[in-house]
Amino acid sequence: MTDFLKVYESYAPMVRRFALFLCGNPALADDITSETFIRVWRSEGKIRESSVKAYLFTIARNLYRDYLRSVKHTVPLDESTPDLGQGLQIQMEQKAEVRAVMVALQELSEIDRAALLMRVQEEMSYEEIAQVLKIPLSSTKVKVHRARLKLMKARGTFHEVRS
Amino acid sequence: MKIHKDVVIDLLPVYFSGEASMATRELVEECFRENHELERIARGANKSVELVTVAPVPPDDWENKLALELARERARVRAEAWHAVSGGMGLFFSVATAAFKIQGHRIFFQVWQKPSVGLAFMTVACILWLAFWAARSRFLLLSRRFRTLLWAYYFSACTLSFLLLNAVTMAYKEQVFTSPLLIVMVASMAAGVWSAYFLTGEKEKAD
Repeated sequence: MTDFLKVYESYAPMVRRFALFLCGNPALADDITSETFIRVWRSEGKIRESSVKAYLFTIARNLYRDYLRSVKHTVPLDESTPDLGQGLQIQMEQKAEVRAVMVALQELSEIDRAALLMRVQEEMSYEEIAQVLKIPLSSTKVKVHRARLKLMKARGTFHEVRS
Repeated sequence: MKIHKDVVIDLLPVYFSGEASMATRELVEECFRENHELERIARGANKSVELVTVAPVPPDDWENKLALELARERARVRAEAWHAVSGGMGLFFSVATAAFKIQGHRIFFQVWQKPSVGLAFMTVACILWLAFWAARSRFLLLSRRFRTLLWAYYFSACTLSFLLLNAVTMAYKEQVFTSPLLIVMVASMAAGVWSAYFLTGEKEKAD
């Protein structure tokens, strides 16, 4: 139990942030986070320290995919979305920008979004990401690149730039 | 060398992630020197991407929250177990109440040989079915695969119980307690549900 609590304290914020950017909904991110750790607790197996992050993110992503399957559609972010400050240390002036990034992220496919978040947020290696997503290494690199490019294009007004 | 801005834009992810080769970096930086507007927008867009790394809230009262979640989980497991037990026992007592044998062109209901025993079996079956339906609302919260697994256990347990009872009654009274046809039916149900359970597992793996 002590080991489990240690894992929970160390990784819960990361899992929550990953889930929040993945689903764009703070309440759902909370549910995914707690359910992720309940599954770890229920599994009773010893987790290898090196694979903890990959293991947790795999569970969190599977839970999100289960959710998507159960609702059959994504709920778009709108003004009524609860305060993002519940789970992230953001300044007032950053809030609108973070929300805009979250909205832009929702435009990406789920797998591209997950790949990008694992790479940028957690600086996970491409090998680890490929293991979580269960796709080849080369596809992982392409997905991260494509997602980053799409997000940059969504947030930057490149079309206004003269060639 | 004149390079189209779209080419540079395509290279921005590798440039900003620090994974670009020296030649790519020089190419992008040269374009930035020539086109300050592109550089400004590119750096701004990259800043947006970096916002996903905004720090998460550190654990605060999470230990209590976790204890609460685990307590909820234990309660759920108990409810699942109760649902399976009440359903299984309910079926057992229902079948036992209706169990009959045919002897000399006459039908004999096993437990109704003594009406008080028959009545007791029926009462217990009713109570168990009520408990089963009360637990059902919680049961539906479980995943479909887990529900299938519980049903598979339940039908398997019924089959084994009937076989055991028949073995015991054959040994002592030289007669079967449950009709073999009924046992075959329940065993077929068990086989069907186990197949459904493994098929959904394969489908989930494929997904």
